[in-house]
Amino acid sequence: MKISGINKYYKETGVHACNEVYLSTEPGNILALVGENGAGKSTLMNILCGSVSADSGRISVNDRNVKSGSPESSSLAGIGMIHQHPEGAGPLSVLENIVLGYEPRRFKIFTFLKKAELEILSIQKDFRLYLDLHKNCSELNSAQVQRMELLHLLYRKKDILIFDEPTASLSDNQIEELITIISRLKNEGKTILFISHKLNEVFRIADEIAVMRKGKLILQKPIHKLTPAITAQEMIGRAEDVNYPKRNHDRDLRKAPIIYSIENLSYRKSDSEFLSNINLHIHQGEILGIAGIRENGLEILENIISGMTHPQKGKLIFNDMDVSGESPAGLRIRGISYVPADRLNRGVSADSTIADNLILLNYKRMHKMGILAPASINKWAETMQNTYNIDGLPQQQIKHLSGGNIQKVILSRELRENPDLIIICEPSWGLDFSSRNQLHIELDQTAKRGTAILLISSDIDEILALSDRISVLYDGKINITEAKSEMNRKSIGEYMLGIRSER
Amino acid sequence: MISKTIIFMVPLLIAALGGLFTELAGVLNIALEGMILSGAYAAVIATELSGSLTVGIIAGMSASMLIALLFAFTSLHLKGNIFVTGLAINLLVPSLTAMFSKSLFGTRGVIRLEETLGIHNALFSLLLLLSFTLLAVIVLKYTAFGLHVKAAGINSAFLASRAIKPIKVQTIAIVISGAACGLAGALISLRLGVYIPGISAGKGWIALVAIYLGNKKPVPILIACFLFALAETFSDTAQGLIEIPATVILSFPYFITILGLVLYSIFRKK
Amino acid sequence: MKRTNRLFGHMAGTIITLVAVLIISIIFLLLFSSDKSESIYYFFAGPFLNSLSIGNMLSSFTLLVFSGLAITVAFKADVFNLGGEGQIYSGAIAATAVLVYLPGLNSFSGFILASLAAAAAGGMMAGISGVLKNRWNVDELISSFLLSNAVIHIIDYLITGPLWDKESYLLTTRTIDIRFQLLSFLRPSNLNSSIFGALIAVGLITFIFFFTKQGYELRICGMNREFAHYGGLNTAFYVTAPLVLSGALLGLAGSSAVMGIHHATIKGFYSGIGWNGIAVALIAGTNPLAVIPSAFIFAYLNQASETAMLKADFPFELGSLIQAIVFLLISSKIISDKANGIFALFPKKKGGIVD
Repeated sequence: MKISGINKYYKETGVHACNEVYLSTEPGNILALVGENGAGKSTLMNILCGSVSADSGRISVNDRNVKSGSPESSSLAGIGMIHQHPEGAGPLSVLENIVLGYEPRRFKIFTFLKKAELEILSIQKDFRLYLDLHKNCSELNSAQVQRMELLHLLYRKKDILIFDEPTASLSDNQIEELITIISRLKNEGKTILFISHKLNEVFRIADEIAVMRKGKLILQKPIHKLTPAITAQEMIGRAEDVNYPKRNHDRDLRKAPIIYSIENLSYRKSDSEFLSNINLHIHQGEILGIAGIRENGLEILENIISGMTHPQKGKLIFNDMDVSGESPAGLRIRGISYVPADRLNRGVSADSTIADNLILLNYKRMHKMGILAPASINKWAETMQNTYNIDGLPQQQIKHLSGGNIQKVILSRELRENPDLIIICEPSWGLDFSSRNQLHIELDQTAKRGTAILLISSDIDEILALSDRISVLYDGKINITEAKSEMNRKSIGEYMLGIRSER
Repeated sequence: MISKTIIFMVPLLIAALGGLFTELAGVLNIALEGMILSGAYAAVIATELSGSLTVGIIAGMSASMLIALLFAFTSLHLKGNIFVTGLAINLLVPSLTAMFSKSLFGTRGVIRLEETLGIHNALFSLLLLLSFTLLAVIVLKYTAFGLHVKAAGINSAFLASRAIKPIKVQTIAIVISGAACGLAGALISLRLGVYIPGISAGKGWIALVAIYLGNKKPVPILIACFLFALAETFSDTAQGLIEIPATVILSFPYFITILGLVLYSIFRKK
Repeated sequence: MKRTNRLFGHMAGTIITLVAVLIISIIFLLLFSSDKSESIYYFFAGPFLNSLSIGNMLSSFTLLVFSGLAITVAFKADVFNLGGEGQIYSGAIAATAVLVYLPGLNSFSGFILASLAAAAAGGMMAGISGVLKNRWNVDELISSFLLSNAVIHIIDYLITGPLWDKESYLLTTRTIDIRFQLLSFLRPSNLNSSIFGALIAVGLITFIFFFTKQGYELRICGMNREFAHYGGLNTAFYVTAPLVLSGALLGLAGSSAVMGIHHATIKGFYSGIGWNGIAVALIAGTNPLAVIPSAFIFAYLNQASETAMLKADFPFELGSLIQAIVFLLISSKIISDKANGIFALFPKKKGGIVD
């Protein structure tokens, strides 16, 4: 299989997801594709499967061209993918799920499940992939659903198997089993593409490694020519890409009072998304950066700290008060502000006006006996817009603003409440450099005024540029918490990818 | 009285089984009522014009399937809100029938036939009930189409990933429900030998309720339909004999459904 | 049973729908009437030809403003109220019961008490759906509809049973005393002073929406519930409260019909007001002020088809057909997208920033 010169540019977001990507592999080979969040791995794989069409470039299998953007063509070429979170049709049986859409028939209309069963049983024997075919799909755990999808691909005689972060939702034992299965598939002559950001697994299983960063293929090399440390460095990138404004780090905050702490927090959403036994604290005026991979716990952490979800175990303490059960409303009254990562759905009401978005926290103080005059709303909005340099007219819908302006709306609204603690998540997503630098200066000044800032981000550069102390989340646990001076890009990256651990 | 109940429940069950296909395919089909009415109407008109009951039944089914296609087109292909378009069908059919009556027969309402469909035999009705239930079971359980319908309702994205267009499966399901409702309507009007505006009398809604009460499975739906038909027979024959007035009995299916919905969501939470 | 968040909100789609309605109406007129020019004439001019039809048009306008406004309130908060018919009916029966059976009321206290009772009856019915939604996540769209149908049968029973007026040959309750009857205009049409009530209600709802704290909270909850929750608003309250308000307005539609038109609760009188209210609200697109022209369009179309039917032997009522066409097309995403595409071809006023 060969991929040559693939390009994909998303106009809406301005992201160059694939930039002149070349890749090739052969039967009986396991190629691991690694890269950070948003490096373009998933886009590339979706192009391979035909669910996304490339702007340019070509894909060929056995020297035959595969039409871009056509799932049928990819499927015909024998390409099959197992998605990161494979799904099935719950109440149907495993067997029905496997054959769905490709049922053997009797008299044209009746399904011939017995025949399918025999076929699948022989596949199961060949690959030693055992799964009860008569169970309901809804009773399966995620490893078994994955196996079901694998059986489906084998049933359809696919030769090129793409695994998109297959271990992301598995426990350690299940990962071991999967690795055995994959090596068996390899021995049977299947071509395997393995996408992951967990380097330790990659080095156990792959024959070859390809690294992607920011839409570009950085390298493709056999495994013995690489080490985990080198690979990690290639994934994250060596040099600072942009200059961040310098912060003053000369404040000693270790003696400042602790304003907020998390004690023994555990939460389990699924096998892949969980937190276990998180302990953190933050001092007044401090910026604590929490780095990690978004899907592996960072997002739940955001939801729990902000009161959108409640912890299953453990406590959240704010100013010596247990706030574990508080809703966002309760947290706001106590002085916690929150800037969500999902700005367009949670941070603003996209179809409402700029003014309506700006007064969300303040309107309770603006009304006179319940009357909220549009004139006073507009006046407030204009003041805010002037102070924080926000574009647009108060009565325009906020969705027409740029990402940077929307972030300013949210941040100004939150800062105006003079909170004791701000939770701010992925603040520079979708911002251009100048808006981002402006935001960083704003946050730095806020911290200087004594507000504690909890920065949750999957961007290592951002964490390094802003934080006083840094915690790294890996596998649902805090891998390390250390002063910023003790950390660098390389070490954070290694903790984030699970190569190093302080536990 | 049982035999009367069984005769009453034939159209109800056929409509409910038709609606079952749409329900399983993930389409909220509140247009059952309008489809039944269109079937009842077209059956009477066609019988009147041709003199043949068979032609009447076929016409009833075809008319209802046309209406079903309109429903599928506006809700699935034009992506309208399924509830709003369903309401539209239920409003459209009575006004269309009134229009045709007026221009064809000069009346706005009742159309009488000389002959009636002779389904007064409980045994034959029972046979019909069982064979339709069996048919639904077979199609849903043993055919590829049945499998696709279920998959479309459970996880349409998953079905789409297997190169089958959910919208196509859902359209076919809607047309099937149209055919069933058309048949149900034809049976109602031809048995009485008359078309009266509003002859469907909420049967479509009750059929929908029966689908929910029957937990979307053919045999329990059969039982649910029996219960409703029994209530109908009661209110039809036993007026004055029981304490509860007949019109109040008519409100029971709705209360029961609300209760069912509440219990269902409590159960689902756990 | 997934719900789409936005049903409408695109002016362009609405205009296309209305144009389609008009074209289809004219086609039907041309196809089915014996004297084509006459029925076209009566269709367009009929409602304005004499005081009777003007009065009746404005009377149905009154009821449509109440019911359309009620549904708009629910839509504004992104909740559904499909129990209109039952809520109108229960409002009517509550008002009738107060006026017929409560002794010692003068015309003012009777009016106030009857209106309150009607609003409470309708509001409570809709409110139950809100509670079910908050407590057990039962879809209010379905529960309000089912509850309404259940209650309709019970009220039918009340009218034909305990509350039946034995002296009347109609299925109706006893008539309310003349001192409770609202002022009539343009007799013998149905027009009465409740038209002012309806207009006041529009003003009041507009005021609440755009000039009060609660109105702001309701709008935000209707736009984006997650955002509202994030901002610390009580999102559960804004499921129940808009439903109660919506039901109360529908209850008032019922009581205004009782006090202004029928002077009793007649069995099945609600038909045509409940569902029409939804059509009115769909055209108005969550803007309470737009309810007035929207209700007027429907009142006009109803009256037009009625005069065309009476005067020009036009074969049927276009009213329900029009309603059906509106329902078929108005919520279509494809049509509104396409319509937006068409309208985008015309130059627009530039409105400041676009990045």
